[in-house]
Amino acid sequence: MKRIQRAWAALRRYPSAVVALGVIGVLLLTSLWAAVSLPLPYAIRLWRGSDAVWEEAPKNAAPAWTNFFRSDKLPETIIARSETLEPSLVKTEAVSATVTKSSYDLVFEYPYNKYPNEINIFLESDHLQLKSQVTLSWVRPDGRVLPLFQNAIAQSFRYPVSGDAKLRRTLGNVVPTMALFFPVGGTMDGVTPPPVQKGEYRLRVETLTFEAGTTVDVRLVVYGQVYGLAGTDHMRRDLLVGLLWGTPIALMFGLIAACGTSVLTFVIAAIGAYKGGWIDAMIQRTCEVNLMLPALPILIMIATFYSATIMTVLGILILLGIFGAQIKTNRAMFLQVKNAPYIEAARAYGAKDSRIIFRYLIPRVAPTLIPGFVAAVPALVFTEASLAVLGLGDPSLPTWGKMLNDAYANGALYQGQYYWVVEPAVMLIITGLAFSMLGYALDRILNPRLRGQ
Amino acid sequence: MAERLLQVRDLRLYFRTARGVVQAVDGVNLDMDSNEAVAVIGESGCGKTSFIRGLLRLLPRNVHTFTGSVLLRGTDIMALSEERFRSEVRWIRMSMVAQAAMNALNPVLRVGEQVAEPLVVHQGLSKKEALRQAAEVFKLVGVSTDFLSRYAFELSGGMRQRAIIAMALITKPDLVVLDEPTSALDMLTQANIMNVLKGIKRDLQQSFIFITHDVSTTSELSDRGVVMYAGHIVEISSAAQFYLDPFHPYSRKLMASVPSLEVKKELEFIRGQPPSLLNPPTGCRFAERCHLRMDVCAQEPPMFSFEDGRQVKCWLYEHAGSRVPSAAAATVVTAGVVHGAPVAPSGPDRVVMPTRAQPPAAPSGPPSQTAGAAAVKDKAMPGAGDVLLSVKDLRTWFELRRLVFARAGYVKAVDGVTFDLHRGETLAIVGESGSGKTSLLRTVLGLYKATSGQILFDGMDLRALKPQQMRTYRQELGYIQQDPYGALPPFLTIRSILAEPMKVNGIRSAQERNDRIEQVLEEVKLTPVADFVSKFPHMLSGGQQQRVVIARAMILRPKMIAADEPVSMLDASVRVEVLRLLRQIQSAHDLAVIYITHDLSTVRHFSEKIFIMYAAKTVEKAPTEALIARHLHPYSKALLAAIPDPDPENAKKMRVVPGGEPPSLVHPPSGCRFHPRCAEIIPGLCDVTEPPVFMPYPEHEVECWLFRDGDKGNA
Repeated sequence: MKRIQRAWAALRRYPSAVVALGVIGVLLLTSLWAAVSLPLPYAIRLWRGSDAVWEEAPKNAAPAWTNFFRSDKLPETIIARSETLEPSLVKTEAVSATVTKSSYDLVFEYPYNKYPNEINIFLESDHLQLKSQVTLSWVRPDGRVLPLFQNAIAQSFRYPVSGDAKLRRTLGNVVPTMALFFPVGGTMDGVTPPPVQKGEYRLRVETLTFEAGTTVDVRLVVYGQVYGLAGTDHMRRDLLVGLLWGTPIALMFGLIAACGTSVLTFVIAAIGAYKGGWIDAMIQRTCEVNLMLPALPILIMIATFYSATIMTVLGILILLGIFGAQIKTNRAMFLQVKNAPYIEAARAYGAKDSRIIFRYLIPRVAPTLIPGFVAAVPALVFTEASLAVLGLGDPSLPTWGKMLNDAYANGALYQGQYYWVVEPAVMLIITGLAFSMLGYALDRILNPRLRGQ
Repeated sequence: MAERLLQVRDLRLYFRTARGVVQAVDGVNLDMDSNEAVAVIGESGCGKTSFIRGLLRLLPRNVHTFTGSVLLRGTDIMALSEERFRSEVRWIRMSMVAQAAMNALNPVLRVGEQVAEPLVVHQGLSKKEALRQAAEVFKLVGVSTDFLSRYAFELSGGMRQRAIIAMALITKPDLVVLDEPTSALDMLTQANIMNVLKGIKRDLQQSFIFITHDVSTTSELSDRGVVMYAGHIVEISSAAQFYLDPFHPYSRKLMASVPSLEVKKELEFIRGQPPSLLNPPTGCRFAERCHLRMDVCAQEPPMFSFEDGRQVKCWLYEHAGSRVPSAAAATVVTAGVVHGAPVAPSGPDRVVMPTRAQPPAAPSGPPSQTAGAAAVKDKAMPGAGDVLLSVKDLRTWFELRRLVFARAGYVKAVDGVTFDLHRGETLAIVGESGSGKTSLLRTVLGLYKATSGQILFDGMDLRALKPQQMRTYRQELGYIQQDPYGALPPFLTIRSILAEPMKVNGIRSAQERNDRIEQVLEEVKLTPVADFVSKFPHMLSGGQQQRVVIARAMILRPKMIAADEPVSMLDASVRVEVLRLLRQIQSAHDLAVIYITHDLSTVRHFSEKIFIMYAAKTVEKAPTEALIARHLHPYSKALLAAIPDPDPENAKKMRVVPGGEPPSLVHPPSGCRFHPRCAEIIPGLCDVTEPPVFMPYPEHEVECWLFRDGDKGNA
């Protein structure tokens, strides 16, 4: 307890360390929150994505808060559902014992100057055999009515308004997402569309069911151009999922890899330095050979031909890292301490080699390990991210690197989707900065030569 | 009167540190004349080095206050700008031999270039001319001019130190400051260097300030003694007065703690440590440790001057005033309180160190008397006679390899050593560094593998032990090392440090471990025990750390202690305390002790037998008193002659020191290993045949052909 207090007192003198600790704390809390609110299997399912999961999310939408900086607000997604409609607004008429006809309007306000991204209507009918018939028409604020769709539907049916080619032809070959919001007399004049007609829009729904008790649920989704805190990608996935789950994965990866390499390196260097002779020689030669091997190509090769799961990459990185340059610096430190009189004294009172290595040699040098360990975390996080950017990341996991890879593959920056690149990059930078700042502060505290400078 | 060389007035040098302002030099006044050597003496941490660094303005960045005036031949060098100071004063008019500077020579420059560099830099001489002058200075300090074009690593420690002195002299400065110029050197080298300095002072009328904590060495080269304590100068006396009869209680204590080879006196030590200079005590700074403390000491004493120039900063001399020029008169005036040099005044807290095994009289003449002394000693040491450790023809060689596999030869660190050590007996092994004494000790401890020979300890044959028995063997031997701080793992508390040997050797009960820790800490007088067990080594003073090391050596209740220079890294005032403790423990447990040292003067106070080692062999073995009274081997003679006792006469005479360097242990000289340096060589014998052991007097063995006729012991 006292030690912790003393360590804290020493750390507190470095504002950078305090900030870094705060940031790392936030990152850890984020990880915890991600794990609790989105359990990993669920997160993976979300990340695998499909229209079923993300059908109400727009494609390539900017984060919602970007509207705060705009005078000309981007439209948000508008959803109107028949389930939530007041029953009194639904006109139901029993045609026969089994045939029921009902009609109602789904009303929504459209206050934006920009056209929506996409419009989908989801229809669900719980009939058993006889298909229900649905008629949909679009009522603009000025009262003009436009028939959209009339057909018998399957139990689950999606009517892509924006992709309906027939409708498009009807509308003068203008994309329905625009044409449906044109003012009276508005036409596509060259490339500039007319201003959006603001006001109350209605989707007039008439259903005809042929089985007793059948209901038809209608859901109108007018996709906006902004979504959530982080925006969405080309697969309608909320980028927040990636950002949130990227945190624990990056931290775990960085910490485990750094821990694995530095501790193993440390122990191996200690054994080599203390034992000397052929053991030391073997470790040094292995290290030298390993230093010549290029790590990235090896990783790429393994990820391409063997497996790109995060565990494989972690294992390979640790293996390559153990016999890295760090073993040389550690060995130099151990060689100094090895000749300390207290080691000799321990030998004189009969301490075994293993005790000398683990009880006298390692604790003496261990403080110098900590800053290096902390500073190694971002490097490893970056390595993992780089692999993912190269397309060799674990495809099933939501990671920052994978997000960057997607952004790159979909030309995010050419399309002005800066947030897609900036968000994971900022997370990487914050993580790297926090660990580096903490590492440097620890180095100053634990390395007497840098103290007081 | 001629202009004074140096006048320092109210020099203050404070440093800013994390814990506050350290008042390292706090108002120092000092006057010096030309051709004068002033010794500045004091324990470590008393501001000596800060004082001279202030003089030369070699200051670190954290200086808080730097005021006062320093007149060098009348010029106030404190008032000079940094640039003028650098170009006109430093190394031109004042130069320095820094502590351990010989190890700081640039390894990639030739020695001559480095020595000549001040001339090139400060006086703008051509390199050729500078080198010519460097050659002259090299001759002056007794280094062959061949060495000018060598590199530092090709020179021995003594040669490098001479080169450093040459570098300080090359600009013919008014004043040379020597900071512990010999502290890292061997005895013979030290004597050599002192001879060089004496010669320079005599021939060039050079002035020196000489800083050291080793009082004996300062007496070799000083006209006046200056004692510093806690940032103040507390006494300034001429050498004649100072070494025979210091006035300040601190000076007297310091003097009394210096072990002397010839004068058999009781050693004292000073309790406590110098005060922290962060918040130095008001009043007299020594008051806390002073046995003559008076009420008035709560106020800071002024410097009281005597007519003969002596100055003392102590209230005891308030009434002595300037009227009392002689020490005798001073004794009269202050008799009621203190004086009676050189015997220290008695007081309740006075601790004395009686010399070892005192025979009725120092054996000075016929062998029979020595034998008598030995007999008395045997009676005084019950249990002696039972052989505990028997070493026969021990050799420890280290293999030298070339290209990993090819054997290139052996370093013969121990080459045929034979001795018996009795229970309860102390054996001192004396020799220069590289003589093989530490290798011998480590071989006995089982840390090095013996190449051949036999080590029998209490019935166990070390070379035939199985690993399990090796453990038992190691429990019987305690090891005390030279550097107490290095000997303690810095990350463990004292409790853990002491518990480690017990854990390793299978004492599992925590209760028993704690009991033993308490017991052993009480024995080494680190009480109250509870205050110490939870501390880390760096929180203790050097003396306390060495006590912990002793406690650790004792915790397994060994039968023998091997002590490798146990006090050489401690301050002189603490040394006596630690040695005394070691002796108490030894007699309480009837321990055998092997005590390794290069410092012959402490041996007399500690051991019964002395072995002198030279080049991996013992050249002389004798009971302590016999050896000091009559050293037979030429090497022993040289060693004993090189040891200064504090005596103002030292400065007037040169010491006789054999030339040359200790031989290589890879290719030791044929015949007697000392013959290349020996003044009494018998050509055709000494350089051809190795001398056997002769015993010219009982119990006094010597390996030297000079005694081939007088082998009475074997007859």
